[in-house]
Amino acid sequence: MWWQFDPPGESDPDVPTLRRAAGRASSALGRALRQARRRRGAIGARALLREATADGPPPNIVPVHVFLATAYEAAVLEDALAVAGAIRGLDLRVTAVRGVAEARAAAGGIDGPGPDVVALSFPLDGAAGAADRAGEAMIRALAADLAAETGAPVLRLDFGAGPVPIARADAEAPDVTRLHLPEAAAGGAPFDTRFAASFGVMPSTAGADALADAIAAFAARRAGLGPKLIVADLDDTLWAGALGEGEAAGEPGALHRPFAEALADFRDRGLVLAAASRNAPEDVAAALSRLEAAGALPPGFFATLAVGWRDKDALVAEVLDTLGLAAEHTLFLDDDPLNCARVAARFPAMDVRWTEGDSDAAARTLRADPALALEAAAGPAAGPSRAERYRLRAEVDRLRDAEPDPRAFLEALDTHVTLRPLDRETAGRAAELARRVNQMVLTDARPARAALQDRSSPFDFLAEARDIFGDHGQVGLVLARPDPERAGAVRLDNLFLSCRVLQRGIETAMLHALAARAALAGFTALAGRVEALPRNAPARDLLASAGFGRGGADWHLTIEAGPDGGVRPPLPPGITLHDTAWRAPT
Amino acid sequence: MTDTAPAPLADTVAGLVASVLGLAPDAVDAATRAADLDAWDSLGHVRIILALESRYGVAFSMEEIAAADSVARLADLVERARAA
Repeated sequence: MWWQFDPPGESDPDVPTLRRAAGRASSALGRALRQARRRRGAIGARALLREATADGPPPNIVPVHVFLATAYEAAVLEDALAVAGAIRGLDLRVTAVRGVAEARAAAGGIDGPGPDVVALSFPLDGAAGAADRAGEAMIRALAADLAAETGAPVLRLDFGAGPVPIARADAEAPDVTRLHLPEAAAGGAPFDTRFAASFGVMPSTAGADALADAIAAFAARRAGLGPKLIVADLDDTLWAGALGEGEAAGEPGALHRPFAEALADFRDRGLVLAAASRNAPEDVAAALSRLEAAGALPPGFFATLAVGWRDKDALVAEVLDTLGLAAEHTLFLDDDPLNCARVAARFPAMDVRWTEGDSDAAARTLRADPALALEAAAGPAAGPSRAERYRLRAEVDRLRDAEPDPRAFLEALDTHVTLRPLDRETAGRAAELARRVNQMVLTDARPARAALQDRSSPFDFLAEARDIFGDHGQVGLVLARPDPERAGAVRLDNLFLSCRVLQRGIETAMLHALAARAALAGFTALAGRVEALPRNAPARDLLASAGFGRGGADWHLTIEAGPDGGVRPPLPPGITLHDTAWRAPT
Repeated sequence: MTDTAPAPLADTVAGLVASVLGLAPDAVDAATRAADLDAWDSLGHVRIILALESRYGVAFSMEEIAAADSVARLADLVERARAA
């Protein structure tokens, strides 16, 4: 199996194996758990996991709250969800209800923080229910209502006849994603009728695993752990044979077309492709040129290439450095188990997959992966492509390295920040920022699209950024309104800034823009709050560094003229602000 | 050649039942019946059956599942399914 490269071959993990894997990295535990699930089923794997982690959860495991509503006894998914979550480095904390009315009642009664994601499994055809339009309309309405009620993204799950999972957003409820899983993923029998007398129709073990894998993939995406980059080997992976061997040295063997086509599909839908190959760079360049000239690969198929005779992990490190992407967002594919083991050892958070020398089978596995299907469903974001965005970030980082003086760096970057209103047109991007940003975010208040559309504060805005390297698109969101408890103050409900553009003064420029708007409207102060979230260390320093003073849980800033005559906090050097969207409150 | 003989199937099944139900290993043995354990309720029975099917790569019929109300009967069921 693709996860068994270290060492290759069959094995039956036991408690010590899982304990060792848990101590290494979540991806190592994930691989061991995949094998345990394959050998013992999810229930047996869960029992091993429980024993292996009796002294405490694995390090770096991320808690995610799931609200699960099903047409059947949801407890039968409990083990499958625990295992599928741990495979992806998540501790899925599930609140499960059975039935539509129960789901509505339970969602309406949630106290405190709501769920991070909602999952619905109400089969409308096949063994577990009768197909009918009324049923479809009811579940669709339930999904939309739960998205609005909980503010969390909703995943609707179904099984269908297709060969691969297909995910698409609901056109009328963009926070709802519908995922059709292939029945083949559940061995052709996603439901089990043998226990119908006691529990009704329930998912089969394979069906439960397929559902749980999909829910875990959705939760991982919500937790900011979705795949963004695929790094592929070339020799015996993208094409047959090795470039440097045989009589026709330098000539690529036959292209593995299903593999190349799968990569091309993911690329078209927004994933970034890169290659890491132990070869002579000129041979690889020539081989790719020939394939492009023959129409077998599109031009610029790979966003970047790391080619040379260094070890594979060094080549992968070069890819990550060039693109500025993290290991936890990367999927690596290679036909050599030693290369896989080497890369997995250097990048413990990376999703490393051994092709076992069968690229066609690897392509099928990739296409069947719900995480990739869900990522692809989002499609390319508005503005620059993902590959372009990461290239821009890497260019900026290189400039930062070359220009150690922060002021000189910002001036050289020549950043322009343009404010856009939060409205129906921009609410989708705003919701995406609210959902995904994990570092520069002040609190865990993350409104969904519907809630964002309902806001009507003149102090809300999105921030667009461009600099000498290009256009970064809409990267920031400020949510603010007149403070209901403090006259004369504007309350900063939250601030989100994409991690791609951190440490370039843009977050301070956004605060400056808010202060300027507040001053124009006659307000004299800004107020805000910062929560300690798992990954928001950059945000915790923002308000203090911008001159806010702390009083209890709140931070306050009196708006007054700064040394340049403008409001505090001053606009950082090198940044030009364009606020053509400002409309004074009426 | 090993130092110890393989555990009788009933002991292995007892271990699996304890593990699935979240009980200490010594809480279940080859003589345990479903009626002896609070945790071995109808849902617990489903989970035991599914765990056994996954572990041994077998499938049981509704009649077999309903009749397998003890560790000994579960072990017998697995034995017969593997021999079939």
